[in-house]
Amino acid sequence: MAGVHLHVHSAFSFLEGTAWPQRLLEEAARQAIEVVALTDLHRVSGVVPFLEAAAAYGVKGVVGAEVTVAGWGRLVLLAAGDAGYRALSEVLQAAHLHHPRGAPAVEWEDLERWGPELVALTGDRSGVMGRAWWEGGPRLMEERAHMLQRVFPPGRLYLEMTASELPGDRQFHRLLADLGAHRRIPLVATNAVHYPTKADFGLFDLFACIRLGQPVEAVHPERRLNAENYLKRWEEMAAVLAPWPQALRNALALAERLEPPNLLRRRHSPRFPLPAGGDPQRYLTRLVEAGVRRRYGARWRAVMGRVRQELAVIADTGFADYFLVVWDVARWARRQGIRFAGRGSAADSVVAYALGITAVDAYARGLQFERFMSRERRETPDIDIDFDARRRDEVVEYVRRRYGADRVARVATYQTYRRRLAVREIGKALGFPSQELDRLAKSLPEAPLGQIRERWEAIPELRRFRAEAARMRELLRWAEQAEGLPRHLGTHLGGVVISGEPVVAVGPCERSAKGEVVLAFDKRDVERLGLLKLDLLALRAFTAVEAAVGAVRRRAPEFSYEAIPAEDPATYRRLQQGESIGVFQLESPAQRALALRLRPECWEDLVASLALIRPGPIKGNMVDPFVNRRRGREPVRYPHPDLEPILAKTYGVVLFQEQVIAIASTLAGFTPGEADALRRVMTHGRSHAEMARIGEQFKAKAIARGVEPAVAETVFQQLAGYASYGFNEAHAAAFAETAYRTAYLLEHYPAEYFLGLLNAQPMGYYPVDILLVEARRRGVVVEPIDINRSAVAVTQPAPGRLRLGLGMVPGLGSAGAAAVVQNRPAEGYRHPVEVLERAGLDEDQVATLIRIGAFDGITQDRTGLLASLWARDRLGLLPPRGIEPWPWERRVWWDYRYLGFGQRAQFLAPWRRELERQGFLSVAAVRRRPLGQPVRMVATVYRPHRPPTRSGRLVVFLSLYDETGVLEAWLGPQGYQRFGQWLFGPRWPWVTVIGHVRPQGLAIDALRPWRPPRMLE
Amino acid sequence: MRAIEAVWPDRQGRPRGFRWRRRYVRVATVLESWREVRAWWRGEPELRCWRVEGEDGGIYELAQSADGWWMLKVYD
Repeated sequence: MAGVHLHVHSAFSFLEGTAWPQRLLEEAARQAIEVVALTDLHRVSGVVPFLEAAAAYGVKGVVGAEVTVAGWGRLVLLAAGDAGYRALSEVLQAAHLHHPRGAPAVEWEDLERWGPELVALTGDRSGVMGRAWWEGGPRLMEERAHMLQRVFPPGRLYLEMTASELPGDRQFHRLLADLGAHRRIPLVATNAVHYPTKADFGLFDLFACIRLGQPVEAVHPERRLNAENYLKRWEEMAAVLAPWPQALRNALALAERLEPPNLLRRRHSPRFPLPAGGDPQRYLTRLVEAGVRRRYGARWRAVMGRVRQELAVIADTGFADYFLVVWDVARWARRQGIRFAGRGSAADSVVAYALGITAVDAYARGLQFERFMSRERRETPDIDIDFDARRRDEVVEYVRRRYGADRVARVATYQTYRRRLAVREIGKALGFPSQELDRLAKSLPEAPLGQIRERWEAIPELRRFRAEAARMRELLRWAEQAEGLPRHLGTHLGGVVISGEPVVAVGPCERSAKGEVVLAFDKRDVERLGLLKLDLLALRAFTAVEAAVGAVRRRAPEFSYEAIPAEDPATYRRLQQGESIGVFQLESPAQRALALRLRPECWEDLVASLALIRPGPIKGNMVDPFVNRRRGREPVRYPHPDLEPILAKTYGVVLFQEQVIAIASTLAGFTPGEADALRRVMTHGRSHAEMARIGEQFKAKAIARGVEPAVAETVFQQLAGYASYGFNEAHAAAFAETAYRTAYLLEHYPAEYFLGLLNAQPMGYYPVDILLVEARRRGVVVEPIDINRSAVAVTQPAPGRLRLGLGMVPGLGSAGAAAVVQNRPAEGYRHPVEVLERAGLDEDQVATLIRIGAFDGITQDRTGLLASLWARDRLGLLPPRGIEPWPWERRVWWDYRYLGFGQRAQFLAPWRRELERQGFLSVAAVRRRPLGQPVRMVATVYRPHRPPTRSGRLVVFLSLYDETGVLEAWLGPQGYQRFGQWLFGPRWPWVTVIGHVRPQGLAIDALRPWRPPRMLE
Repeated sequence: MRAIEAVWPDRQGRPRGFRWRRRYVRVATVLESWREVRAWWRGEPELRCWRVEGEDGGIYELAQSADGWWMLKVYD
């Protein structure tokens, strides 16, 4: 017997469901269930994967949601067709936007307004009838049924009977049946499903405990008494609800009647507001032609052929309005002086370049437009633009004003359970002490939880939990089930949708933690729903650039960031030495190691560098051939002569996604669109069978064009190995622009550039402590935070000098720092109590300022200052009493303790003489040692990580630093087994290391924690 | 929760009669039935429960688990 389930929650009910919609439909298909209604709590966020999976499994997917009716309890609302979906969306949006975040509820008037378009089921025991029964018995049930009948016309209201097998069901069901008979409301059978199978109940119950904030051992009336809310076979439903066959019959009939909305085959693009009667394609063409003349000058005619091809694709796919919208945003930002740059595959387009959206000349670079968009694809192309992080919200606000607040929304992200969060939350529910969970979470290596569970004994940092291993493994088993499931809704970093009609027609919006209106679908779903999406990203590197350029211009007003010389030898010399900490995208240890080998000499080398340090080229062993060929140590070879024009600029190595497309077109005769489709399959669908199928297609076509079978095979293997993780050239080129310019700033204006970096924190790979080491190493004088001299931000009091800002003090906040500055008397603060009184800070905040030495300019007697602060004694300290200042190492220690970085010196600097006496080298001294030499050193550890490998043999990579610089180091698999416990989990930041000097850094043989020889408190 | 000496179920698994404190009790009516999970995280099994009225006039709550039959409550 086929069956239906009209009340089903997925994991999008956040902690009230345990499975993705796909998993539910898979189970439904297995149980021969023909219709499933997805009724997540207060949202329809799962609707896209649900409808897609429903089509794939041959199940009819009905869309709905369960809502809380204010003061009444829950009600299941089902959407019949498009009109029903719109009504459901309106109800949900009102529930979210008219109530505090996290407590959505449907008001009666919204139900009255939109209810008639919907079908309502009265829910389970937490539903409106269950609550009425509990709170007022049959009379209240009768009253509420009467009220609901006034909203929902006959045939649109059902009394829900669940096969939950709870105590009291017999009486409750009888009351429902009597009420139904009396008021002529039909019964309907559901199972209020929250998980696919009975075996999933444990996770559901743990989620309930997380939601209720209690351990699993504690009882709570909201926890389910049994494990019956799974996708039951219809026979099971019939057996449990045997006394009420009409409820089962009605469910089947209702499911038959409900049609899914048509959501996935529409487009809601906005119309760009043109002068009356204007045609968007014609307008776009005019703008592009003008742009081409501007960009290319006398050469413009040569470019027009390519431009016309691009415009034709844009016309055929109907995206002229989209380009106009993006052009308009870019134009507005430029007029406001907001720094921006288009990134990603949009830089493959000459049209985008001509419109001033991107800065990469796609024509000159021969970039493939088809990587960006094609007739075959017909999806909304992705245009991502990076803006100065501080001003990005102004751009979003402009878009909102331009197209209307109801037609613009931010895009959501589904915040999913990551390993650590899953371990912490589920562990807490299972009753583990939080300290133990913290230690475990911090000790987990970068591997799937299942793998960690199986290899527990082989992971050194988990050995400390030996006594608890069995319980911990059990915890990981549950956490593994939660891993990847959506936990709550977040806001996408830059995604903004613009719709041609109110966004609510596509889906309901919610309010983010920052109060913004967010469409409750993620980036992928938004595209599937046919909305136009812009990625307006906030890039802190631009914030840093803006600040640095401002500082440079104060002493050299003629300086122009845009006019930075194209190929500056000094900049490249610095990069060749691997000295690029702080440079956009080129500062990571891997990039710096590559620079030492590649020795970049021109802009193209930077483009290649950005594409080389990616999983594709690294796993495909393309880095070595590329470097060797670039440096002339290996001849450049091409698998086929026809590939020379495509691969010449990368020395015969496939480095960019665009090259994949070009190779497929040239060698196998794919149309550009087909070739991009091939690239996409290679990228996304990596099943063995699918790859084999494409391989056959590629080879057959290539051989038909006269290519040797062996060559076709070789080329395909190269493409397949690479394409899945490759980078697109346009993106690399767009990033290389900023990379080069920031490298130039770092080389020629180090003080100003470090000022920019410090004021744009948090950003980049390295923390403030390392940036300060680098700044000092480059000759910049760093002055500490001073209550009377510091501004909120880092400032430049004189050329080559930086004064750290009050905004860097944790616990003070930008408001506290601003209050200190704004209320500073003309003659300066004279005493901490004055700061307390004038700036309105609390005692703890002022005490922190004393501890970090912000009052050292008044007196260095920090102990006395603290005592007088607690005593509110403003006279006790003045004039200074001549007490010995704290020793240097203690002052540095307190910097680290209260600021997290050394403002006067790096932590190890005060110990250097002592360390040297003991034979420990500094980073700089290690660098000077010949290759292969054994060395001993004490250093600060930064970012130890052990990337997963297929073989399971883990190598730990880490940065070691002290006051003389940064050194990259690694620890082999055996060393990891012996010393890994000192690097992961709660750990001491300083280590004694014994190792050997290698070209890329230090190969560590042994390490152990290093503790300062004297007490510093 | 105490073990019941013997239970005679019908074909649907419902108790028809049971032996309790050396006395046979025939079930007159099944008043209610439900399922219950206990401390699943400690491996305790699921229970299938019945509230029945015996022909002796007593109200009993019986439960069946994988381990056998149990008396949950007896109402005087």
